[in-house]
Amino acid sequence: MDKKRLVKSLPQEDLKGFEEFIEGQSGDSSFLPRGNAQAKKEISFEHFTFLTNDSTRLNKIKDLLMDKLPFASRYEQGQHLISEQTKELKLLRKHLFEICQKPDSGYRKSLGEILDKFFEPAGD
Amino acid sequence: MSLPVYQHINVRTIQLDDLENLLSKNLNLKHPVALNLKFLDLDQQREMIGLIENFFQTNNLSFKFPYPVYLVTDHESTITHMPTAFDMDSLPKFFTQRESKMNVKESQLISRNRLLQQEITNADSQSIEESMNRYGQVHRQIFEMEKERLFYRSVLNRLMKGKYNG
Repeated sequence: MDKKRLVKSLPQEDLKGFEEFIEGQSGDSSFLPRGNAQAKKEISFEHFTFLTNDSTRLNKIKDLLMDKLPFASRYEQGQHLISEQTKELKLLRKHLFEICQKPDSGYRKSLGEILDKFFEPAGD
Repeated sequence: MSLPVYQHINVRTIQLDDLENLLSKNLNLKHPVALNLKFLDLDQQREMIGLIENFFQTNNLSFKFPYPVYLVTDHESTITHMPTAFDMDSLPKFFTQRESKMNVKESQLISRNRLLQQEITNADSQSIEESMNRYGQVHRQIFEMEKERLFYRSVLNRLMKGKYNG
């Protein structure tokens, strides 16, 4: 913070005894961080992060190519899963048709209602 | 040593000799490449895309790893398997970095990455591509079947619920 602003903002009582010390401080202290140095630091950090991310990316690709893909093709489970799914689907379809085929099934009732609505039975 | 940022290559002719100079086996070993075909007319661009694809196929190289090779072209992405972009600005931003002098830590990281890059390049790209496609195809089929199964299961649940509720 600026020296003058600091002196103005604080109550006079708090500054008692420090007047000489404040006066003695130089306006442009060499201890303050310089804008340029800060920018430089940020850039190098940016590059380091980028390189770390790239390294992670390369490691993932290496794992995929060297470990995961050979393992997946050696112990292929796709066809087995497909045959299991086919069996399951067949069973579900059969079950569904059995339920829908019953004379008092909801499917038949709904279908009957629709047909009656469009082709009203004679005598009504 | 340099950062793995885009290497921009402007393709101005479709002469095979020029192409040989542009493309090398280590083209995408150390950095991603953006081949700008915009200097050619549409037919020449299509022809050049075919030649570039052919180069990667015949040399058993991959245009996906270690670093991707992008084609900057006016054509739609459907005409090639290679990644495409309409202009330089639409290339992925990940590899867009400001080049500057590197410190020791960064240089060490780059040399460590060199080993990974070399290891990835040595992989048999054609067989990898095949096994990836096969794996993808099978699992897409499984996904579709699972979607169908879930649909049947939901219909069945609703029917059973209706039955119990009268």
